[in-house]
Amino acid sequence: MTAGGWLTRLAEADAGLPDEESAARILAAGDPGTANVLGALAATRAELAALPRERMPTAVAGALAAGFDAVDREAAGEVPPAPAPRPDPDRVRPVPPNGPRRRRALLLSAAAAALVGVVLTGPAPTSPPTDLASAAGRVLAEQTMDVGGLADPAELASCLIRAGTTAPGGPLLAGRPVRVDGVDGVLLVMATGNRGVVRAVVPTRGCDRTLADLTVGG
Amino acid sequence: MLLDARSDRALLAAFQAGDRRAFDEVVRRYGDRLWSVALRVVRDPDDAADVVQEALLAAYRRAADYRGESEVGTWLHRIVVNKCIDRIRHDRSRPHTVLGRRHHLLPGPGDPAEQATTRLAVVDALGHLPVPQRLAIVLVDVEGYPVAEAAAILEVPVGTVKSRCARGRIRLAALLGHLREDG
Repeated sequence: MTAGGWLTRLAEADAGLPDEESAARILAAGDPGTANVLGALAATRAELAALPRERMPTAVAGALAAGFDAVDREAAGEVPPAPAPRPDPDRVRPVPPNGPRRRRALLLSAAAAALVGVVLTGPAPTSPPTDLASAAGRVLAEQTMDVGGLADPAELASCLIRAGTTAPGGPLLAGRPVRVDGVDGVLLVMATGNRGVVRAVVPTRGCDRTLADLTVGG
Repeated sequence: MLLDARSDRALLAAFQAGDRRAFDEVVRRYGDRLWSVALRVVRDPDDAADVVQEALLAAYRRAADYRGESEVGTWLHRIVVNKCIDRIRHDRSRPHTVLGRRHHLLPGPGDPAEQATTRLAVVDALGHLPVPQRLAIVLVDVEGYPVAEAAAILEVPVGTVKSRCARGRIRLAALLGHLREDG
């Protein structure tokens, strides 16, 4: 048997082939090199198992939710089929604004959602109460930027510090007026420097306190 | 956000009965796993984003026809895996995909550099496997699915999954320096 054939036979036995009983026999009858091979296979499996579970980026979940809504609108005959937005984690693209907005809750992991009631307010289309992560996903997907003077980085940093939270760790990506548990504020969605991870902060309109602060995605 | 206690099949049934949001809960349950599988297999976040969106939109459109022949999770994974295979075939003409983009694997705060280096090596090594072996390894050894479930997702016999895993592990063990492949 060639060395390659021997390795394959051992690895297949290690995987339970040709059947568990025969595999056990092959492994038990192994020569002195068998233990080294099995150790190498075990080390390989351990390193594979140590790869962390990746989480769906917020922008991908937002684009997906928008895609579902587009399918629903298409099924209802409201608009002709439109190409789905590519859910690039770095380059979130606007969702076509045609048809009534019925954006569903963002498809984030439950652990990423915040238990606060957020209502999108202001001149742009409003929403029923949702959670902060969903609201952040929506403004990201739509690339809404309605934050007044907070578009200026210095003013933004000053506002957040006055509101008692930390300054931005990355640029402002999107934002708009919201109402959190009945209090008016401005939802600010900022990059964090980590791919697919954004920070959603809601200071009050006067920047005198922070209504919500959540890091989502990743 | 309240957790939905309904089973996967009950959610699909609710969706078929007109509760469009029931599908959201299904995606919430499986989204991260599907994303993780897609990213490990196609290895490029942009491609993984396309794969997952195309797969889940296809599932959303076809959910009305789901008859329960397989578990919901298996069904969703199968759609994602097939989209991954399509994407890899399509991308073979694109030279940049040989290396893939790995910046999502860069170490985070508190992540020892040695572990990050190992992760990069493992992810790179996965890219050297033939696609059938890579799929089996990702499902069984990375994501931890039982062999029988991986076989159901890949629509091949259990023995085929075991064989692909065995051959893939030998190759990876050699690439990762645990084993000399020439004996």
